[in-house]
Amino acid sequence: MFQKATLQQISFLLRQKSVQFTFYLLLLIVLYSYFSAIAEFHGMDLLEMCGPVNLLSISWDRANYNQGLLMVITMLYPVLAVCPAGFSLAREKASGEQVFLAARMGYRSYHFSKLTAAFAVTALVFMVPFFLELALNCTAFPLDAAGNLIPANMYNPVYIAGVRNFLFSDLYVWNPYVYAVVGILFLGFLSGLLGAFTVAFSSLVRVKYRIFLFLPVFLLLNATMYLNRLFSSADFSMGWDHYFFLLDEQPKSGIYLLFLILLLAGFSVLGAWKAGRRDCI
Amino acid sequence: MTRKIFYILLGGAVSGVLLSLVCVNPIGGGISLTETVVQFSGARGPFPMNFIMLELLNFMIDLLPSFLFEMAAGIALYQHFCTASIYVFSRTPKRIRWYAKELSAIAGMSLLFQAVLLAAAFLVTAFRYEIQFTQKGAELLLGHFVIYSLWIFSMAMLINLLALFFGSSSAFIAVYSIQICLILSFWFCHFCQDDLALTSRILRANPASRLVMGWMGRSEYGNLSIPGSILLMGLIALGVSLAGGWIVKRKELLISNIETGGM
Repeated sequence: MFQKATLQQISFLLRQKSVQFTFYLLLLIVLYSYFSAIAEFHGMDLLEMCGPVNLLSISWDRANYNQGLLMVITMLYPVLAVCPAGFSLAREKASGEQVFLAARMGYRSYHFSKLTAAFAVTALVFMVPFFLELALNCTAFPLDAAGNLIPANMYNPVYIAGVRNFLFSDLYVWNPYVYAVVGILFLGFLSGLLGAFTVAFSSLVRVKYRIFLFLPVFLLLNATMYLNRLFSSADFSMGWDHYFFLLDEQPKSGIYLLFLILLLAGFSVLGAWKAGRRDCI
Repeated sequence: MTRKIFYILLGGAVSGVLLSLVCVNPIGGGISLTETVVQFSGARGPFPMNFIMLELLNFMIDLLPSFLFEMAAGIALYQHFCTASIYVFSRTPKRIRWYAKELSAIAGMSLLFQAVLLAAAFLVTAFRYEIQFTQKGAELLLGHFVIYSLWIFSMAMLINLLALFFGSSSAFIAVYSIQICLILSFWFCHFCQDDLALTSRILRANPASRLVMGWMGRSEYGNLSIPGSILLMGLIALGVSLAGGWIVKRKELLISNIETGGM
Protein backbone atom coordinates (compact mmCIF):
# COMPACT_ATOMS: atom_id res chain seq x y z
CA MET A 1 0.00 0.00 0.00
CA PHE A 2 2.76 2.38 1.01
CA GLN A 3 4.81 1.64 -2.11
CA LYS A 4 1.81 2.03 -4.42
CA ALA A 5 0.81 5.28 -2.72
CA THR A 6 4.36 6.65 -2.94
CA LEU A 7 4.67 5.81 -6.63
CA GLN A 8 1.31 7.44 -7.33
CA GLN A 9 2.36 10.55 -5.44
CA ILE A 10 5.69 10.69 -7.29
CA SER A 11 3.89 10.34 -10.60
CA PHE A 12 1.48 13.12 -9.60
CA LEU A 13 4.23 15.46 -8.36
CA LEU A 14 6.32 15.04 -11.50
CA ARG A 15 3.47 16.53 -13.53
CA GLN A 16 3.22 19.63 -11.37
CA LYS A 17 4.22 23.01 -12.81
CA SER A 18 6.53 23.74 -9.86
CA VAL A 19 8.60 20.62 -10.59
CA GLN A 20 8.78 21.39 -14.28
CA PHE A 21 9.71 25.03 -13.62
CA THR A 22 12.59 24.07 -11.29
CA PHE A 23 13.79 21.35 -13.63
CA TYR A 24 13.81 23.57 -16.72
CA LEU A 25 15.50 26.41 -14.84
CA LEU A 26 18.32 24.08 -13.73
CA LEU A 27 18.48 22.67 -17.25
CA LEU A 28 18.87 26.19 -18.63
CA ILE A 29 21.72 26.88 -16.20
CA VAL A 30 23.37 23.60 -17.10
CA LEU A 31 23.11 24.18 -20.86
CA TYR A 32 24.48 27.71 -20.50
CA SER A 33 27.39 26.29 -18.50
CA TYR A 34 28.04 23.62 -21.14
CA PHE A 35 27.96 25.92 -24.15
CA SER A 36 30.01 28.61 -22.45
CA ALA A 37 32.63 25.98 -21.57
CA ILE A 38 32.74 24.87 -25.18
CA ALA A 39 33.10 28.46 -26.37
CA GLU A 40 35.92 29.14 -23.92
CA PHE A 41 37.95 25.92 -24.09
CA HIS A 42 37.39 24.95 -27.69
CA GLY A 43 40.66 23.97 -29.36
CA MET A 44 42.76 23.98 -26.18
CA ASP A 45 45.73 21.65 -26.04
CA LEU A 46 45.16 18.39 -24.14
CA LEU A 47 48.07 19.05 -21.80
CA GLU A 48 46.59 22.39 -20.77
CA MET A 49 42.98 21.25 -20.69
CA CYS A 50 41.17 20.64 -17.42
CA GLY A 51 39.04 17.60 -16.73
CA PRO A 52 35.31 17.51 -17.63
CA VAL A 53 34.42 17.27 -13.93
CA ASN A 54 36.13 20.60 -13.25
CA LEU A 55 33.91 22.26 -15.86
CA LEU A 56 30.62 21.33 -14.20
CA SER A 57 28.43 24.26 -13.12
CA ILE A 58 28.43 22.86 -9.57
CA SER A 59 32.21 22.66 -9.45
CA TRP A 60 34.02 25.06 -7.12
CA ASP A 61 37.03 24.86 -9.45
CA ARG A 62 34.92 26.48 -12.18
CA ALA A 63 33.44 28.93 -9.69
CA ASN A 64 36.89 30.05 -8.55
CA TYR A 65 37.89 30.47 -12.20
CA ASN A 66 35.04 32.66 -13.45
CA GLN A 67 32.77 32.92 -10.36
CA GLY A 68 29.72 32.62 -12.47
CA LEU A 69 27.06 30.01 -12.30
CA LEU A 70 27.79 28.36 -8.99
CA MET A 71 27.19 31.68 -7.24
CA VAL A 72 23.89 32.05 -9.12
CA ILE A 73 22.88 28.54 -8.03
CA THR A 74 23.96 29.34 -4.46
CA MET A 75 21.78 32.47 -4.41
CA LEU A 76 18.75 30.70 -5.88
CA TYR A 77 19.09 27.37 -4.07
CA PRO A 78 17.43 28.30 -0.70
CA VAL A 79 14.25 29.10 -2.64
CA LEU A 80 14.59 26.50 -5.41
CA ALA A 81 15.01 23.56 -3.02
CA VAL A 82 11.48 24.11 -1.73
CA CYS A 83 9.83 24.64 -5.11
CA PRO A 84 9.46 21.12 -6.52
CA ALA A 85 7.60 19.35 -3.73
CA GLY A 86 7.64 21.54 -0.63
CA PHE A 87 4.12 22.90 -1.12
CA SER A 88 2.44 19.61 -2.01
CA LEU A 89 1.13 18.70 1.45
CA ALA A 90 0.09 22.25 2.33
CA ARG A 91 -1.87 22.50 -0.93
CA GLU A 92 -3.68 19.22 -0.30
CA LYS A 93 -4.38 20.20 3.32
CA ALA A 94 -5.89 23.51 2.30
CA SER A 95 -8.05 22.09 -0.48
CA GLY A 96 -9.23 19.13 1.57
CA GLU A 97 -7.81 16.47 -0.78
CA GLN A 98 -5.82 15.21 2.18
CA VAL A 99 -8.98 13.88 3.82
CA PHE A 100 -9.90 11.89 0.72
CA LEU A 101 -6.40 10.44 0.26
CA ALA A 102 -5.89 9.71 3.96
CA ALA A 103 -9.27 7.95 4.12
CA ARG A 104 -8.14 5.62 1.33
CA MET A 105 -4.69 4.72 2.64
CA GLY A 106 -4.57 5.69 6.31
CA TYR A 107 -3.23 8.87 7.76
CA ARG A 108 0.23 7.56 8.62
CA SER A 109 0.70 5.90 5.26
CA TYR A 110 -0.40 9.13 3.60
CA HIS A 111 2.14 11.27 5.45
CA PHE A 112 5.04 8.89 4.99
CA SER A 113 4.28 8.35 1.32
CA LYS A 114 4.04 12.13 0.85
CA LEU A 115 7.39 12.59 2.62
CA THR A 116 9.06 9.89 0.54
CA ALA A 117 7.58 11.24 -2.69
CA ALA A 118 8.76 14.79 -1.87
CA PHE A 119 12.25 13.45 -1.15
CA ALA A 120 12.36 11.43 -4.35
CA VAL A 121 11.00 14.14 -6.65
CA THR A 122 13.24 16.91 -5.27
CA ALA A 123 16.27 14.60 -5.48
CA LEU A 124 15.44 13.75 -9.10
CA VAL A 125 14.96 17.39 -10.09
CA PHE A 126 18.36 18.31 -8.66
CA MET A 127 20.20 15.28 -10.04
CA VAL A 128 19.03 14.84 -13.61
CA PRO A 129 20.23 18.18 -15.05
CA PHE A 130 23.69 17.77 -13.53
CA PHE A 131 24.01 14.17 -14.69
CA LEU A 132 23.10 15.43 -18.13
CA GLU A 133 25.80 18.09 -17.85
CA LEU A 134 28.35 15.48 -16.78
CA ALA A 135 27.44 13.31 -19.76
CA LEU A 136 27.66 16.27 -22.14
CA ASN A 137 31.02 17.35 -20.71
CA CYS A 138 32.40 13.83 -20.98
CA THR A 139 31.29 13.75 -24.60
CA ALA A 140 32.60 17.17 -25.57
CA PHE A 141 35.85 17.32 -23.61
CA PRO A 142 38.72 14.83 -23.53
CA LEU A 143 38.50 12.30 -20.72
CA ASP A 144 42.30 12.18 -20.58
CA ALA A 145 42.53 15.82 -19.59
CA ALA A 146 43.67 16.02 -15.98
CA GLY A 147 44.34 19.69 -15.42
CA ASN A 148 42.43 22.12 -13.28
CA LEU A 149 41.28 25.72 -13.58
CA ILE A 150 43.34 27.19 -10.72
CA PRO A 151 45.79 26.29 -12.49
CA ALA A 152 47.88 24.25 -10.12
CA ASN A 153 50.42 21.53 -10.69
CA MET A 154 48.94 18.31 -9.36
CA TYR A 155 52.13 17.68 -7.39
CA ASN A 156 51.91 21.06 -5.66
CA PRO A 157 51.60 20.38 -1.88
CA VAL A 158 49.07 23.20 -1.46
CA TYR A 159 46.90 21.72 -4.23
CA ILE A 160 47.21 18.23 -2.73
CA ALA A 161 46.16 19.58 0.68
CA GLY A 162 43.17 21.24 -1.00
CA VAL A 163 42.16 18.01 -2.72
CA ARG A 164 42.32 16.19 0.62
CA ASN A 165 39.63 18.60 1.85
CA PHE A 166 37.14 17.51 -0.82
CA LEU A 167 34.15 15.55 0.41
CA PHE A 168 34.86 11.94 -0.76
CA SER A 169 38.45 12.98 -1.57
CA ASP A 170 39.69 9.36 -1.79
CA LEU A 171 37.07 8.74 -4.44
CA TYR A 172 38.28 11.76 -6.41
CA VAL A 173 41.89 10.58 -6.25
CA TRP A 174 40.84 7.10 -7.43
CA ASN A 175 38.48 8.23 -10.20
CA PRO A 176 37.17 11.81 -10.69
CA TYR A 177 34.19 10.60 -12.74
CA VAL A 178 32.96 8.23 -10.05
CA TYR A 179 33.51 11.11 -7.61
CA ALA A 180 31.32 13.36 -9.78
CA VAL A 181 28.54 10.75 -9.95
CA VAL A 182 28.61 10.26 -6.17
CA GLY A 183 28.80 14.03 -5.64
CA ILE A 184 25.72 14.64 -7.80
CA LEU A 185 23.87 11.80 -6.03
CA PHE A 186 24.82 13.42 -2.72
CA LEU A 187 23.53 16.80 -3.92
CA GLY A 188 20.27 15.09 -4.90
CA PHE A 189 20.11 13.37 -1.52
CA LEU A 190 20.59 16.64 0.38
CA SER A 191 18.11 18.48 -1.82
CA GLY A 192 15.56 15.70 -1.33
CA LEU A 193 16.12 15.94 2.41
CA LEU A 194 15.35 19.67 2.30
CA GLY A 195 12.17 19.03 0.29
CA ALA A 196 11.08 16.37 2.78
CA PHE A 197 11.94 18.71 5.66
CA THR A 198 9.59 21.35 4.25
CA VAL A 199 6.79 18.80 3.83
CA ALA A 200 7.31 17.60 7.43
CA PHE A 201 7.17 21.21 8.62
CA SER A 202 3.91 21.79 6.77
CA SER A 203 2.47 18.59 8.25
CA LEU A 204 3.10 19.82 11.79
CA VAL A 205 2.39 23.53 11.38
CA ARG A 206 -0.75 24.75 9.69
CA VAL A 207 0.53 27.33 7.22
CA LYS A 208 -2.16 29.54 5.78
CA TYR A 209 0.06 31.23 3.20
CA ARG A 210 2.53 29.13 1.22
CA ILE A 211 5.09 31.96 1.28
CA PHE A 212 5.96 30.91 4.85
CA LEU A 213 6.97 27.44 3.68
CA PHE A 214 10.15 29.00 2.33
CA LEU A 215 11.13 29.93 5.87
CA PRO A 216 12.53 26.66 7.32
CA VAL A 217 14.97 25.90 4.49
CA PHE A 218 15.71 29.59 3.85
CA LEU A 219 16.56 30.19 7.51
CA LEU A 220 18.49 26.94 7.91
CA LEU A 221 20.75 27.45 4.89
CA ASN A 222 21.37 31.12 5.59
CA ALA A 223 22.02 30.32 9.26
CA THR A 224 24.92 28.08 8.18
CA MET A 225 26.31 30.99 6.13
CA TYR A 226 26.03 33.30 9.12
CA LEU A 227 27.68 30.68 11.35
CA ASN A 228 30.50 30.41 8.80
CA ARG A 229 31.15 34.13 9.04
CA LEU A 230 30.68 34.33 12.81
CA PHE A 231 33.14 31.48 13.39
CA SER A 232 35.46 32.20 10.49
CA SER A 233 38.47 31.17 12.57
CA ALA A 234 37.07 27.64 13.09
CA ASP A 235 38.99 24.65 11.72
CA PHE A 236 36.24 23.78 9.31
CA SER A 237 33.75 25.55 7.09
CA MET A 238 30.12 25.72 8.21
CA GLY A 239 28.55 27.16 5.07
CA TRP A 240 26.18 24.77 3.29
CA ASP A 241 27.63 25.65 -0.14
CA HIS A 242 30.94 24.00 0.79
CA TYR A 243 29.24 20.64 1.42
CA PHE A 244 26.65 20.56 -1.34
CA PHE A 245 28.87 21.19 -4.37
CA LEU A 246 31.93 19.54 -5.88
CA LEU A 247 35.66 20.21 -5.71
CA ASP A 248 35.60 22.56 -2.75
CA GLU A 249 38.98 23.00 -1.02
CA GLN A 250 37.68 24.41 2.25
CA PRO A 251 38.26 22.15 5.26
CA LYS A 252 35.14 20.30 6.31
CA SER A 253 33.76 18.48 9.31
CA GLY A 254 32.10 15.11 8.87
CA ILE A 255 30.54 15.36 12.32
CA TYR A 256 28.96 18.74 11.52
CA LEU A 257 27.58 17.42 8.21
CA LEU A 258 26.28 14.25 9.86
CA PHE A 259 24.64 16.34 12.59
CA LEU A 260 22.79 18.46 10.01
CA ILE A 261 21.72 15.41 7.99
CA LEU A 262 20.46 13.63 11.12
CA LEU A 263 18.66 16.80 12.22
CA LEU A 264 16.86 17.12 8.88
CA ALA A 265 16.09 13.42 8.54
CA GLY A 266 15.06 13.05 12.18
CA PHE A 267 12.75 16.05 12.05
CA SER A 268 11.20 14.86 8.80
CA VAL A 269 10.51 11.32 10.02
CA LEU A 270 9.33 12.42 13.46
CA GLY A 271 7.18 15.11 11.92
CA ALA A 272 5.48 12.67 9.57
CA TRP A 273 5.02 10.15 12.40
CA LYS A 274 3.51 12.75 14.76
CA ALA A 275 1.26 14.19 12.05
CA GLY A 276 0.16 10.64 11.18
CA ARG A 277 -1.14 10.12 14.70
CA ARG A 278 -3.51 13.06 14.46
CA ASP A 279 -7.13 12.74 13.53
CA CYS A 280 -8.20 13.67 10.03
CA ILE A 281 -10.61 16.41 11.07
CA MET B 1 -1.83 44.30 15.75
CA THR B 2 0.09 44.04 19.04
CA ARG B 3 1.35 40.60 18.03
CA LYS B 4 2.52 41.95 14.66
CA ILE B 5 4.40 44.78 16.34
CA PHE B 6 5.97 42.29 18.75
CA TYR B 7 7.22 40.10 15.91
CA ILE B 8 8.58 43.13 14.05
CA LEU B 9 10.43 44.27 17.18
CA LEU B 10 11.77 40.77 17.82
CA GLY B 11 12.76 40.20 14.19
CA GLY B 12 14.41 43.60 13.93
CA ALA B 13 16.33 43.17 17.17
CA VAL B 14 17.61 39.68 16.34
CA SER B 15 18.53 40.78 12.80
CA GLY B 16 20.35 43.83 14.12
CA VAL B 17 22.35 41.80 16.62
CA LEU B 18 23.33 39.25 13.93
CA LEU B 19 24.20 41.96 11.44
CA SER B 20 26.50 43.62 13.94
CA LEU B 21 28.19 40.37 14.98
CA VAL B 22 28.69 39.14 11.42
CA CYS B 23 29.41 42.33 9.47
CA VAL B 24 31.17 44.75 11.79
CA ASN B 25 34.79 43.71 12.19
CA PRO B 26 37.21 46.63 12.50
CA ILE B 27 40.92 46.04 12.51
CA GLY B 28 41.61 48.04 15.67
CA GLY B 29 39.55 48.45 18.85
CA GLY B 30 37.66 51.44 17.55
CA ILE B 31 35.56 52.10 14.50
CA SER B 32 34.18 55.24 12.90
CA LEU B 33 30.45 55.69 12.39
CA THR B 34 31.07 55.83 8.63
CA GLU B 35 32.82 52.48 8.61
CA THR B 36 30.12 50.96 10.80
CA VAL B 37 27.31 51.98 8.47
CA VAL B 38 29.05 50.89 5.27
CA GLN B 39 29.84 47.50 6.79
CA PHE B 40 26.11 46.84 7.15
CA SER B 41 25.88 46.80 3.36
CA GLY B 42 28.67 44.75 1.89
CA ALA B 43 31.83 46.66 2.85
CA ARG B 44 34.68 44.70 4.38
CA GLY B 45 36.59 46.91 6.78
CA PRO B 46 37.30 50.25 5.15
CA PHE B 47 36.95 48.79 1.65
CA PRO B 48 33.62 49.15 -0.18
CA MET B 49 31.98 46.15 -1.75
CA ASN B 50 33.61 45.05 -4.97
CA PHE B 51 32.01 43.49 -8.05
CA ILE B 52 33.30 39.94 -7.52
CA MET B 53 30.73 37.20 -7.07
CA LEU B 54 31.85 36.17 -3.59
CA GLU B 55 31.23 39.68 -2.27
CA LEU B 56 27.89 39.84 -4.08
CA LEU B 57 26.94 36.55 -2.44
CA ASN B 58 27.93 37.92 0.98
CA PHE B 59 25.84 41.02 0.26
CA MET B 60 22.84 38.79 -0.52
CA ILE B 61 23.35 37.10 2.84
CA ASP B 62 23.52 40.53 4.55
CA LEU B 63 20.10 41.26 2.99
CA LEU B 64 18.55 38.27 4.78
CA PRO B 65 16.68 40.47 7.33
CA SER B 66 15.17 42.44 4.43
CA PHE B 67 14.02 39.23 2.72
CA LEU B 68 12.48 37.97 5.95
CA PHE B 69 10.59 41.23 6.41
CA GLU B 70 9.40 41.12 2.80
CA MET B 71 8.16 37.57 3.39
CA ALA B 72 6.28 38.58 6.52
CA ALA B 73 4.83 41.82 5.14
CA GLY B 74 4.22 40.29 1.73
CA ILE B 75 0.81 39.01 2.82
CA ALA B 76 -0.27 42.07 4.80
CA LEU B 77 -2.53 43.33 2.01
CA TYR B 78 -2.99 40.01 0.20
CA GLN B 79 -4.49 38.24 3.22
CA HIS B 80 -7.59 40.43 2.98
CA PHE B 81 -8.23 39.10 -0.52
CA CYS B 82 -7.86 35.47 0.52
CA THR B 83 -10.67 34.80 2.85
CA ALA B 84 -12.77 37.78 3.80
CA SER B 85 -12.63 40.14 0.87
CA ILE B 86 -16.38 40.12 0.39
CA TYR B 87 -16.81 40.97 4.07
CA VAL B 88 -14.09 43.63 4.01
CA PHE B 89 -15.20 45.37 0.85
CA SER B 90 -18.92 45.26 1.58
CA ARG B 91 -18.23 47.12 4.82
CA THR B 92 -15.72 49.52 3.30
CA PRO B 93 -17.00 50.54 -0.12
CA LYS B 94 -14.30 53.21 -0.44
CA ARG B 95 -11.53 50.88 -1.41
CA ILE B 96 -8.88 53.54 -1.96
CA ARG B 97 -9.36 54.85 1.58
CA TRP B 98 -9.05 51.31 2.90
CA TYR B 99 -6.00 50.73 0.71
CA ALA B 100 -4.32 53.94 1.95
CA LYS B 101 -4.84 52.77 5.52
CA GLU B 102 -3.27 49.37 4.76
CA LEU B 103 -0.44 51.05 2.87
CA SER B 104 0.43 53.29 5.79
CA ALA B 105 0.37 50.27 8.11
CA ILE B 106 2.92 48.47 5.90
CA ALA B 107 5.01 51.66 5.63
CA GLY B 108 4.93 51.98 9.42
CA MET B 109 6.06 48.37 9.80
CA SER B 110 8.96 48.98 7.39
CA LEU B 111 10.13 52.05 9.28
CA LEU B 112 9.78 50.33 12.66
CA PHE B 113 11.66 47.25 11.47
CA GLN B 114 14.56 49.27 10.08
CA ALA B 115 14.69 51.50 13.16
CA VAL B 116 14.82 48.52 15.54
CA LEU B 117 17.36 46.71 13.34
CA LEU B 118 19.73 49.67 13.18
CA ALA B 119 19.27 50.46 16.87
CA ALA B 120 20.06 46.86 17.87
CA ALA B 121 23.02 46.73 15.48
CA PHE B 122 24.46 49.95 16.88
CA LEU B 123 23.94 48.97 20.48
CA VAL B 124 25.82 45.72 19.97
CA THR B 125 28.57 47.47 17.99
CA ALA B 126 28.91 50.17 20.68
CA PHE B 127 29.17 47.40 23.30
CA ARG B 128 31.93 45.63 21.34
CA TYR B 129 33.90 48.61 20.01
CA GLU B 130 34.29 52.32 20.53
CA ILE B 131 32.32 54.14 17.82
CA GLN B 132 33.76 57.50 16.71
CA PHE B 133 31.06 59.89 15.57
CA THR B 134 31.54 61.43 12.12
CA GLN B 135 29.35 63.86 10.15
CA LYS B 136 29.49 61.65 7.06
CA GLY B 137 28.61 58.63 9.17
CA ALA B 138 25.50 60.34 10.49
CA GLU B 139 24.41 61.20 6.93
CA LEU B 140 25.07 57.63 5.80
CA LEU B 141 23.14 56.25 8.76
CA LEU B 142 20.11 58.41 8.03
CA GLY B 143 20.42 57.53 4.35
CA HIS B 144 20.67 53.82 5.19
CA PHE B 145 17.53 54.02 7.33
CA VAL B 146 15.44 55.85 4.73
CA ILE B 147 16.70 53.96 1.66
CA TYR B 148 16.32 50.52 3.18
CA SER B 149 12.88 51.37 4.62
CA LEU B 150 11.67 52.52 1.21
CA TRP B 151 13.19 49.46 -0.49
CA ILE B 152 11.68 46.82 1.80
CA PHE B 153 8.35 48.67 1.68
CA SER B 154 8.41 48.62 -2.14
CA MET B 155 9.38 44.96 -2.32
CA ALA B 156 6.78 43.94 0.28
CA MET B 157 4.09 45.84 -1.65
CA LEU B 158 5.22 44.23 -4.89
CA ILE B 159 4.87 40.77 -3.32
CA ASN B 160 1.39 41.71 -2.10
CA LEU B 161 0.30 42.90 -5.54
CA LEU B 162 1.77 39.95 -7.44
CA ALA B 163 0.23 37.58 -4.89
CA LEU B 164 -3.23 38.86 -5.87
CA PHE B 165 -2.69 37.24 -9.28
CA PHE B 166 -0.27 34.37 -8.73
CA GLY B 167 -0.40 33.39 -5.07
CA SER B 168 2.02 34.25 -2.28
CA SER B 169 4.74 31.67 -3.03
CA SER B 170 5.01 32.56 -6.72
CA ALA B 171 5.00 36.26 -5.87
CA PHE B 172 7.88 35.82 -3.44
CA ILE B 173 9.88 33.78 -5.93
CA ALA B 174 9.35 36.50 -8.55
CA VAL B 175 10.37 39.39 -6.28
CA TYR B 176 13.32 37.44 -4.82
CA SER B 177 14.49 36.62 -8.35
CA ILE B 178 14.21 40.28 -9.39
CA GLN B 179 16.40 41.29 -6.48
CA ILE B 180 18.94 38.55 -7.29
CA CYS B 181 19.05 39.68 -10.92
CA LEU B 182 19.61 43.30 -9.88
CA ILE B 183 22.47 42.29 -7.60
CA LEU B 184 23.95 39.88 -10.15
CA SER B 185 24.01 42.71 -12.71
CA PHE B 186 26.79 44.28 -10.60
CA TRP B 187 28.97 41.42 -11.80
CA PHE B 188 29.05 42.92 -15.29
CA CYS B 189 30.78 45.95 -13.81
CA HIS B 190 33.66 43.59 -12.96
CA PHE B 191 34.40 43.29 -16.69
CA CYS B 192 34.17 47.01 -17.43
CA GLN B 193 35.78 48.42 -14.30
CA ASP B 194 38.30 50.31 -16.44
CA ASP B 195 35.48 52.09 -18.26
CA LEU B 196 34.23 54.39 -15.50
CA ALA B 197 31.51 55.92 -17.67
CA LEU B 198 29.96 52.53 -18.46
CA THR B 199 30.24 51.35 -14.85
CA SER B 200 28.61 54.57 -13.73
CA ARG B 201 25.72 54.10 -16.19
CA ILE B 202 25.12 50.51 -15.07
CA LEU B 203 25.16 51.44 -11.39
CA ARG B 204 22.96 54.50 -11.80
CA ALA B 205 20.38 52.54 -13.76
CA ASN B 206 20.23 49.77 -11.16
CA PRO B 207 18.15 50.70 -8.06
CA ALA B 208 19.83 47.96 -5.99
CA SER B 209 23.13 49.87 -6.19
CA ARG B 210 21.61 52.43 -3.80
CA LEU B 211 21.54 49.75 -1.11
CA VAL B 212 25.35 49.68 -1.00
CA MET B 213 26.13 52.62 1.27
CA GLY B 214 29.87 52.19 0.72
CA TRP B 215 29.41 53.34 -2.89
CA MET B 216 27.88 56.70 -2.02
CA GLY B 217 29.94 59.61 -3.26
CA ARG B 218 32.64 57.47 -4.88
CA SER B 219 33.48 58.29 -8.47
CA GLU B 220 34.54 54.74 -9.33
CA TYR B 221 31.10 53.50 -8.22
CA GLY B 222 28.87 55.81 -10.19
CA ASN B 223 29.12 58.86 -7.90
CA LEU B 224 25.80 58.00 -6.27
CA SER B 225 24.36 60.52 -3.83
CA ILE B 226 22.17 59.94 -0.79
CA PRO B 227 19.49 62.50 -1.73
CA GLY B 228 19.37 61.11 -5.27
CA SER B 229 19.08 57.56 -3.94
CA ILE B 230 16.30 58.53 -1.54
CA LEU B 231 14.50 60.24 -4.42
CA LEU B 232 14.83 57.14 -6.63
CA MET B 233 13.65 54.79 -3.88
CA GLY B 234 10.81 57.20 -3.09
CA LEU B 235 9.73 57.18 -6.73
CA ILE B 236 9.80 53.38 -6.83
CA ALA B 237 7.74 53.22 -3.63
CA LEU B 238 5.29 55.78 -5.04
CA GLY B 239 5.03 53.89 -8.32
CA VAL B 240 4.32 50.59 -6.60
CA SER B 241 1.78 52.27 -4.29
CA LEU B 242 -0.07 53.92 -7.20
CA ALA B 243 -0.06 50.67 -9.17
CA GLY B 244 -1.43 48.94 -6.08
CA GLY B 245 -4.23 51.48 -5.78
CA TRP B 246 -5.19 50.96 -9.41
CA ILE B 247 -5.15 47.15 -9.02
CA VAL B 248 -7.08 47.12 -5.74
CA LYS B 249 -9.75 49.44 -7.15
CA ARG B 250 -10.30 47.18 -10.14
CA LYS B 251 -9.70 43.73 -8.66
CA GLU B 252 -12.91 41.78 -8.70
CA LEU B 253 -14.21 40.49 -5.43
CA LEU B 254 -12.93 37.10 -4.44
CA ILE B 255 -14.43 34.29 -6.47
CA SER B 256 -12.01 31.54 -5.60
CA ASN B 257 -9.17 31.48 -3.12
CA ILE B 258 -5.85 31.70 -4.99
CA GLU B 259 -3.95 30.20 -2.07
CA THR B 260 -6.05 27.05 -1.58
CA GLY B 261 -8.00 26.78 -4.82
CA GLY B 262 -11.32 26.36 -3.04
CA MET B 263 -14.25 28.77 -2.76
